[in-house]
Amino acid sequence: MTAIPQPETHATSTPPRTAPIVAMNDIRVSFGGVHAVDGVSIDLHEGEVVGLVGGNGAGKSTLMKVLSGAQVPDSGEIRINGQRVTIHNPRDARAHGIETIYQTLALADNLDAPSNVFLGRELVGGLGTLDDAAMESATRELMERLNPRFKNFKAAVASLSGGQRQSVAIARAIQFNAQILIMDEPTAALGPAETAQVRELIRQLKADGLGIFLISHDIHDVFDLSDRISVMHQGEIVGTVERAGVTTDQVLAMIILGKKPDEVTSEELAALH
Amino acid sequence: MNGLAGARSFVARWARGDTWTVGLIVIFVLLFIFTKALRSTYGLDALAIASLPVAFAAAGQAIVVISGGIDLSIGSVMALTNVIAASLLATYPELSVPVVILVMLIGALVGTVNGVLVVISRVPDIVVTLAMLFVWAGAALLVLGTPGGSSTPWLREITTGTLGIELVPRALVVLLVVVGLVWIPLRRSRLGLSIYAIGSNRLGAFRSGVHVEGTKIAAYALTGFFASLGGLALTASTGIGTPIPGPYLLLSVAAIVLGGVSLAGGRGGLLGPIVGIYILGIIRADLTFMGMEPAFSTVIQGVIMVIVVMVGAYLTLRRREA
Repeated sequence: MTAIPQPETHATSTPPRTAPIVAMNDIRVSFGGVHAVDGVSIDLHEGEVVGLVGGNGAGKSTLMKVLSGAQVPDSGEIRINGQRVTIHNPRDARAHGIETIYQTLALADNLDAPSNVFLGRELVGGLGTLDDAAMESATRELMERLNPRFKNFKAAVASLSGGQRQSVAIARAIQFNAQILIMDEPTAALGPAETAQVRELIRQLKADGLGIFLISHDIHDVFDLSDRISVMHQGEIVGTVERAGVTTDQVLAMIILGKKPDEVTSEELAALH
Repeated sequence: MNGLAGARSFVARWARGDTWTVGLIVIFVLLFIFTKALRSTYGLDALAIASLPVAFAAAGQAIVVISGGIDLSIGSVMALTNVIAASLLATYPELSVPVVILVMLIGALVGTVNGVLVVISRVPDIVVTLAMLFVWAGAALLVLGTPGGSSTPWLREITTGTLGIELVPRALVVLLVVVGLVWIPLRRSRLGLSIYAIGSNRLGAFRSGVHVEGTKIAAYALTGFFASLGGLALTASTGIGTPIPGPYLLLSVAAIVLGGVSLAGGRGGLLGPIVGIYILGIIRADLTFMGMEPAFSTVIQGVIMVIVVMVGAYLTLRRREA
């Protein structure tokens, strides 16, 4: 149905444990008296998808905002490829190869697709003028790979469908050789066909060697795509588990009860059903 | 990219994206023919010189509104630059060129102050610039307590009369050349795109790595610069400085609404508002020629504006649904 070239195999098996490309250690963020993120450590390897799940207000989006530069943490360290880095704003994050696709798409609605893809990093020609032709042809090339049915390169993105807008957001994220991708609810606003397309794309990006943090409410998305799953509850990590070693029920119990699978009693598990 | 291809793609984009402005130009031409029928001696040059100050104000207002803000102090800034120009030109008539340049710089500086206050205070633009309306109006009165000062002959010469045929008033040429020299390169630059981006989605632009605050300050500085051109145009057309702001704030907002600039930001251009000013001006002239009572004629102007904007909203909705 989709014309996206399929990778040879869906490499959902655990990648070899090389040094992580991202290591966040003991990250803390509080808003007033509320500990939104309370001493969280998490890591991510090349070619790996780490699903980040948890209820509303569990702290997953705030944690990812720290990595993407939208939120400065109160304390904690971030290492990219072993190097300690400081990320104060989205430009710093991008300089380290970290790209984010937001739940509420961070698109400028009145601009066309190429302008959105290159926003903040526009291509300029002689005399400092924008090189629209180059930006459009690069965007066309990228869309050929991401979403071959995408044809509307001149219209304001406000007039595009949800799936097309998501394609623009993803194109923007991978245009600049991203190494680390943060996807915050990438399929929340999409129909079934478009969701399937985005899932396919995530597998492809993973096969290309990107590390991906996937925030999602959709437990099926997470199970389908992740290598490891980190569960957050009230600002803390309940546990990080290999996807192959758990059931959806166990992960749901972690989300709701905030306890690891071996700490949950059978009565508690039964009460969930 | 070579210049010719760039120019061609720019024109193509404009014609495709800016049907609203094309429609306004058609309306204006029809109104002009109608006016000629009413009074054959009516010339475009009278309209152009009368519209010049407020046309610059509309261009300036359009830039800051596209960036997602609004500048309520634009009329006061025009009054301030108008009296600074008139009093300096009265004192140093031989230094008229440096004085004019200085006044433009003061306009940009005043705009920068507005922008910095908006960015630092994080108070809504409409509140900050409302406060600055009073500050700059007071400053104008400090510079010149009563109307006075003088202009310089060349300012009047470059804005009065026509170039060759009657349809090319000098004031219109000055307006289009100055606005074009600033706006066309800007529109094609990273700053121009950033202005549209922060007006379209401020948070999204920030997350994309756009320098939101710097862009906002630059937009206000440009608005201040255009306000100073409006002040200079006032000096040129009246020959003196008047410290009390004219009705230019409301006219500039009316013109950008008419000209297809979205008050929500991110959409529109500068040509539309300028044509909007001309339309408002020619309607006023028509109503006078038709013997309409002045008080009633402002009512008619308001009604026409509401109708035009409603038609515009209707067309936009229909295009979305299509």
